[in-house]
Amino acid sequence: MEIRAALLRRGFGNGWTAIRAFSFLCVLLPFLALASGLFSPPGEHWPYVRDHLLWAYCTETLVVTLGASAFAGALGVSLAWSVSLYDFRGRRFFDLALVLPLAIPPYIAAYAYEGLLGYTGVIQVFFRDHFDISLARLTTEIPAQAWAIWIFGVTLFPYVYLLSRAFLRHQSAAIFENALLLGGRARLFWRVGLPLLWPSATAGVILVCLEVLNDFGVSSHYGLTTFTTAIFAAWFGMGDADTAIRLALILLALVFFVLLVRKALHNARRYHVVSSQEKWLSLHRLRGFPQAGVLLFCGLVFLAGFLAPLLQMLHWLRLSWRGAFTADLGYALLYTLGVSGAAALCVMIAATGTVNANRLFKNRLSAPLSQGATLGYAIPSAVLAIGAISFFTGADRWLASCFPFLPERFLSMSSFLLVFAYGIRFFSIGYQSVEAGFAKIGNVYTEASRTLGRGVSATFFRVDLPMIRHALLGGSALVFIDILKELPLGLLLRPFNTETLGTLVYHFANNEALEETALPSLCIVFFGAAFLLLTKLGEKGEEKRVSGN
Amino acid sequence: MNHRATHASASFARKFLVALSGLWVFLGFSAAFAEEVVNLYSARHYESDKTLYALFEKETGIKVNVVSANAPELIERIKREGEVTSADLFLTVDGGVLNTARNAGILQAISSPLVLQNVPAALRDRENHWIGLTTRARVIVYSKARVRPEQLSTYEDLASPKWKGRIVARPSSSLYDQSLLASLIALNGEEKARAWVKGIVANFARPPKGNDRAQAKDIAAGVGDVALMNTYYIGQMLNAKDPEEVRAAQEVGLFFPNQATTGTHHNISGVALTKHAKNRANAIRFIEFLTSVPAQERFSTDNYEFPTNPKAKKHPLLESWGAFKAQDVDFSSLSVHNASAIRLFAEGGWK
Repeated sequence: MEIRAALLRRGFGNGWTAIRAFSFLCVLLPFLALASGLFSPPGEHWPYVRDHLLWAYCTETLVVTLGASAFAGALGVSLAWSVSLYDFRGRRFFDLALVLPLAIPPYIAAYAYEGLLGYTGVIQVFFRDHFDISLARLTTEIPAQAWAIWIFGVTLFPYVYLLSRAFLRHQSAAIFENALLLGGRARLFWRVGLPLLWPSATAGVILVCLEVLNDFGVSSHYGLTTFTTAIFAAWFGMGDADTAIRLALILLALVFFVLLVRKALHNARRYHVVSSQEKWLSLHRLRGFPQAGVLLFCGLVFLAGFLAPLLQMLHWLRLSWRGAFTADLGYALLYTLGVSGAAALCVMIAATGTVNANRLFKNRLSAPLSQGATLGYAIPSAVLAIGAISFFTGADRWLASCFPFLPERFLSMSSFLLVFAYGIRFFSIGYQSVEAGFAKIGNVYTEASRTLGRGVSATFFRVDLPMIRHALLGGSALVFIDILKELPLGLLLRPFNTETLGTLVYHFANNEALEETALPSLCIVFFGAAFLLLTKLGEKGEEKRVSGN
Repeated sequence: MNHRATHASASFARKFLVALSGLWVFLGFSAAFAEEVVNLYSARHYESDKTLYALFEKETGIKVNVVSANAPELIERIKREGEVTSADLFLTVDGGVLNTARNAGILQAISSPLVLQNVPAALRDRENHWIGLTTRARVIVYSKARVRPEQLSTYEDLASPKWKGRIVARPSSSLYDQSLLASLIALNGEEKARAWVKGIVANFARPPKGNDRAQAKDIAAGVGDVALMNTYYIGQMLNAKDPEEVRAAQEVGLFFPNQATTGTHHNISGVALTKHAKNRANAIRFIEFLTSVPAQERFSTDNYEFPTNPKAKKHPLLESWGAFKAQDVDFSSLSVHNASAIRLFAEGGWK
């Protein structure tokens, strides 16, 4: 008993820490399967890659990642600021609509932009046929990096927007009103708003950053030599797994650095406003030119990130709808929804367990364990997939020797493998949402409940869970949508005769039949958008209920 | 009221999730319990292939199970799965990739006399570790408005200064260009191939980007005058659902280069039997089916590829291009020189 108490004090050996340890182990497994590669001598192409290509990989990756993060950050923060502090015509619409670009996978947006602005696209054809003006030069002069930054920016900015907006919505009016009394409205943003927004905005930018670092679809579409495409080229092109693993390690180090930066930024500026009489921000009504300006800005971003790709897909659907509604599509739809739901559920359970373990049972291991578990986001999908296959093929061999009645290749040829890999890949997204949810309520209520005699788990289910419910719902929606949009893991790990919506899109795009991608793409967008809107509306309803009481 | 509503929706959500989870487990496993099957790891993603699988199922009652992904990933997967692999057959494009699979030790020889009779020796592996199903040529496409076909001659000629600012190309990450360069290394040696890459890069009208079809469109748009393109893409574009694609494809002509010298680069799409295939007999039967005349004609009519069975008729469009002299390069050398090709592209600045 004493030992158990001592272990508990040190944060070992209860259910919560077990979940944390389990999450960490899950992420570790595919690494272990690849570990042999780490200690082997460098591959034959490594010196060449190091001397001739590494620098190019680094610069291209940095340019695109920094560019996209800055662009998405600027869009997200300025839009959240406009919608949170000002009242203008259409504000309520844009408050919802501006999260929708998140429903469009960047690679699909890239295809759509090519369809829209390319030589055979509606715009060029219109100008060519009616005015005899060729715009071909215009679109070819824009460098590929700029295209990629644009695509990432307009489709990923909602990460920043969502987190900043959520922060501003729950801000006490007192700070802003005092600041307004002391200075002008224009200075408010730079002197008070931005510093206050810093933690939530950077959290959003980090998500964008990780998403871009791990992207394969957009980079390969525009022919960029980023780390992910380089890993593919080294491993699958040169057949040099050791070099690929080395590149993957550099990418991993880069991601680890990004996460450290985030931690540093987060710790440096953290503001908790505790006030018993919270008064929500009152909106400043805009009229005339300022109103038109804000409206135009919101409208253009919405057009660029959502409406334009959507319209292009509808145009393609008009051309390709005959024969597009197949049983394959129906199966793919059901399968994708099922797998995404199952994986999102697993992620949220693991993430909640880990975060709760961290805040209640801190020890020397807790930070590295949980940071380690979020690294899954950084492993290139191809590497993660191969690692998972190696591990589970081994596990299946062992299972088959113990339980001969199991179907052949019980784990590695079923959807289990896919759900597992999705779970590792998107654990970080769930983790960040849960962490943010807990950060918002702090430890006060938990401590009060503990003081009143409730146990850790009872407190969690009766006190913590209801309070972080919306963070959990929001987090699972984000994870769900991310899985819906995911491509490489689905491509490599799905069982026989199953397609995900993403792999259907990829097959058509790979055959260069872009117009055929319309229907599966639209399914992804529709379900992504529906989940986003439901979560947003749920939050709003909740707020109304709370403020009504 | 609100509370009750939340509870109701939560329990509905739970039921929905349970139902969906049940469904994916069912979908995942249903394949494992079918009677007669052949399991396919395929890197060919063409819609027309699905029609062929359905035909085979109808004819023989053998169910065709498919996992499709990129070829190198599938090879890595078969390697890692070892003896327990579910794959009976590996289906892919590019002779180099087929040879890589062979060298990885994951294939076995195919000895069906019918298959060997269907496909000429030049279009299969020396020891029949893989069998060619279709071929495609990588040809020069040119602007009908600005280039006369007499001005074109060879791949090598595209590197000469007369094409300065007139070539559009896709990024060198494309296997099609890697294999073309590998074949030029095999024919002309590494030094000449290096000079060729530099010459082409000097002639670029714009930095490399887009896929094969995008090159044809940029020629139609007047961005460049010549490009390299696989033959079946031209067929697909000319028959696309988007009328603008058809219009763009009509602006470009097609030229088989190197007819007087080493021949046009062509590549192969093939099928291979895995070393640890569990459904060997069914797999062989499937290969026999794929190389038979009716299936071969489907490849050509539906996907504009050249059949490998000489008895099969070609699509009229392919027929209209006439016969051409193909490169006499062993397909296995494409994988031998692939790493060098990637290096030469990187050194020469072909992104």
